[in-house]
Amino acid sequence: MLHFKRKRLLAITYILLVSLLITAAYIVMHFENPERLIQGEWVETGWYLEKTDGAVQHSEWKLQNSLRAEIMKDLEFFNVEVWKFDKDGTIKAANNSLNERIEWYIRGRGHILQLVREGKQLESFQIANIDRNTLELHLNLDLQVRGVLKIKLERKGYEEKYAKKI
Amino acid sequence: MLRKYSNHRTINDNIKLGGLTAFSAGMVNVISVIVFFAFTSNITGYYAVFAQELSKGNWYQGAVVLFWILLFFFGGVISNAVIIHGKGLWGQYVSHAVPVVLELLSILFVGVYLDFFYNDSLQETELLVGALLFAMGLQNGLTASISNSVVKTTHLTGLTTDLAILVSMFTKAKNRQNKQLVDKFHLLLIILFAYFLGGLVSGVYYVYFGNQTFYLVCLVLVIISFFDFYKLKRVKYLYERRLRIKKLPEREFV
Repeated sequence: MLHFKRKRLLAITYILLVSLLITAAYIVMHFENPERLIQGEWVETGWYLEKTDGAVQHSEWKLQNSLRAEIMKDLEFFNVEVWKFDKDGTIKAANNSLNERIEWYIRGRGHILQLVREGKQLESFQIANIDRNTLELHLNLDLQVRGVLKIKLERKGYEEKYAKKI
Repeated sequence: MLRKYSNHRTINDNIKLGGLTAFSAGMVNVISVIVFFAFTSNITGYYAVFAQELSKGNWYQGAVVLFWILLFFFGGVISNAVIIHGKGLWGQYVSHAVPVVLELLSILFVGVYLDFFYNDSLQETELLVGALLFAMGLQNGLTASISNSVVKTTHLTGLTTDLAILVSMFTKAKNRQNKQLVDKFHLLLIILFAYFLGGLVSGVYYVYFGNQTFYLVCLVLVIISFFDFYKLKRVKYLYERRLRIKKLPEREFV
């Protein structure tokens, strides 16, 4: 009797594991993933620098313009304020002010946004949060500033839609 | 290196197996971080990431991580199943070599796919990372199974702990004379060094040859799987030659 039960338990375990694998594979193949979610136009709503220094009371504040300029001196793209992720894998400024072709890729488990120019990595961000309307990117800085740069974006038109709704 | 099982293995067998498989695991891990931004030789961190993604409500990312963990798991299952069921069918050496060959095929698949079919999409990335984790599961299952859990080469957490314990044990003179402990220390050091060297070679090779690094890993795996084949063939040849020499005088009488 015990032997039979063990056999049954084993069968249930195998079935459970295989079902988990199939379910996970199905989600990976068919669910909305960050690569599809990111497509479209995003408006910057804020740049923040989060320091890890315990002595600082408020860990977040808006970046000063000069610091932002220093960080972005090699990245013309980041001055566009409206990010347009095209379906063809390129990233554009909403006003077409970008002269160079920059490609975007989503890597890892969908948590890395990689920007590539002429086959070489321009920058890579960690996607801290992404849904239909909001996007938060983190950039590890190697300048004299310590900590993580946060860029918060909203899908273009989201605020208007929200305002209309309420 | 592959033909012996469990307690019949010598320290030299384990050093050869540990060194070469750790070298290939280090290569795979570094190349996958470079190409896919994901670790593939261990899954400890993925359990934490899985919990983190679920707590944030990121179901898709959670499913991806679960998919990877399960592929590593099934790699180990298949590896051990081949070893325990294959012994009676194909003999010990072949049943130990089959998981290495399956691992080789998985890594070869990733290399060929990257070269000829890859469109840089997220779905493809996740499947290819899955293939590499499956390969590492196969390797870890094989080395742990045939060496009685003495050799584990795809992750270094336990190894570093064991090494730390041994270093502290060697503060006693009596332990420094203990051959078993010294042998274990050498084995762990070689695995550690081989893993690091594999990662280094992989990183440098990638700069010059790109995705072809995956073929280099395959070459290392070919060496692992056919090393004993060559040895067995040579022993068989020498044995047969000795028999022939012994039989020659008998023929003269006939």
